[in-house]
Amino acid sequence: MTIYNIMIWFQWCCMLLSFIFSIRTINNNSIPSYMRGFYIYSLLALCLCSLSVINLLTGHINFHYLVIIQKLSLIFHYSFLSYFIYGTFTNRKVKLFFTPIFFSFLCLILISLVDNLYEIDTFHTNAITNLALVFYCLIYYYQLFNKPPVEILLEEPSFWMVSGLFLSLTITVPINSLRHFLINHISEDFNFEIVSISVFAYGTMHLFFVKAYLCSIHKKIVS
Amino acid sequence: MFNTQKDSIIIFIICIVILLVLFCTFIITLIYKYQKRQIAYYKDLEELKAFHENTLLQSQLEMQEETFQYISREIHDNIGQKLTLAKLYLNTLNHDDSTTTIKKVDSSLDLISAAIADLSNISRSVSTDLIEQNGLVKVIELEVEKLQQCGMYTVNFSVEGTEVFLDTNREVVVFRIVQEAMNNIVKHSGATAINIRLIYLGGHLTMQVQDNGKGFDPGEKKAGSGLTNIQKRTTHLRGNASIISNKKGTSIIIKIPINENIPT
Repeated sequence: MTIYNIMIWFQWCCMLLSFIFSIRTINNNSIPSYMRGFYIYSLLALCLCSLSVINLLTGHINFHYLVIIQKLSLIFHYSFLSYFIYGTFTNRKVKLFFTPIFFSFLCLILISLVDNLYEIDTFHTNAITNLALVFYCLIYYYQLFNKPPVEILLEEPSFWMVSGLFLSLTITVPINSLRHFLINHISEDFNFEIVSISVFAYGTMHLFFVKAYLCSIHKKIVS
Repeated sequence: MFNTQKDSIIIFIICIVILLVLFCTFIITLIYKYQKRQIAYYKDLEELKAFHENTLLQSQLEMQEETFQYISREIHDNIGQKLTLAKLYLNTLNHDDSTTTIKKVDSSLDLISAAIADLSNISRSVSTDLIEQNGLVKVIELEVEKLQQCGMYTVNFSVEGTEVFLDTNREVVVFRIVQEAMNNIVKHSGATAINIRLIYLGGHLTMQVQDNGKGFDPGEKKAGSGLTNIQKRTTHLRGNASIISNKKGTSIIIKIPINENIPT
């Protein structure tokens, strides 16, 4: 079993765990408003990862279909996570500036997708998407220090969500941006190691989501 | 470069460890900074709270002191005078001159009755019982009637919106503001018409006391005057007061939240 296979399984387990905990937030009006509906993201992430796992086990899934699904999921990934981070913003000015920035990045992503329509790799589009989300995470952290502090930061679901995102995105942005360079200049064998790091980062992100779900459920019980 | 799977695993683990260490450092720094900020924030908040409580206490003490002064002044200038005069009449009774004696006794009785009535008035004006039993609107009406009885002023009192009974402590403070405003008008304004409005609207009580007197320059008024007391009392009620004055008269407007308790 290669490192890549292990990481795919690790990611799938993390996503499954995240989805299981997300079920407890369905139809739960006590959880923070930005957390509502987040189970959809966990479910779709699990479905996509399951496709990769099936492909790994059987190799029977049409590769072109996988690429199309991956490209479509990028738009969903960007829109959904942007909407989630937007929900955590409380500052009016930040919210006002967010909308044009969101649409600007969305246009860039669409242009990049169309530009690489017949390409198999989506690294550049991935890099743009994740860069935009890193930027939103940084706005979240900035805002965290510019509003009245919450009592216990480590029990704040949004903090764990954004931290998970920040971890995975800061790792995947340089990897996706420099992937061609790394493969061409270091070794072609390095390709799977690079992908494995990205996969590990995504898996860890979902573990952070599990913590966020636990915090929101705990918050509900306490209140 | 990576010939064996073992090498690639080692490289992978090194990369992951480095990335995780970097991220953990970032998160720990973030949490540390945040907690530092949190401590500073709560410290500031505590200081602000203490300052606010101090101010409230001070204004409560000032209000109390003012009430004592009012009682003392009334006893000394009014009731004291009447009782002294009654005592003088009774001391100078001449039992041989029955006509003068009867007159003096009658006058003494009148003076004592007036003193009792004044005492009762003082008691009523400083006591909270009347407000507790009748509510703010009724006591203001009584105060307005009293002022109208002297015949020097045309007083118009109106209530807009549905009357909401506030906490007695709050009603007392509002009533003291009305008394203070009316006192100022009688003492300084030279007005002939007074208009008092109480508006219960949108979770707030707005009170306006307006007169057609000579007005004053708000900038020239020094602290310690009745207007400062009005400001302090309004702050005590967590509301805001605005005083507008020109040569055509003065208008005092206070706005306080209805559903908020004040420290007793």
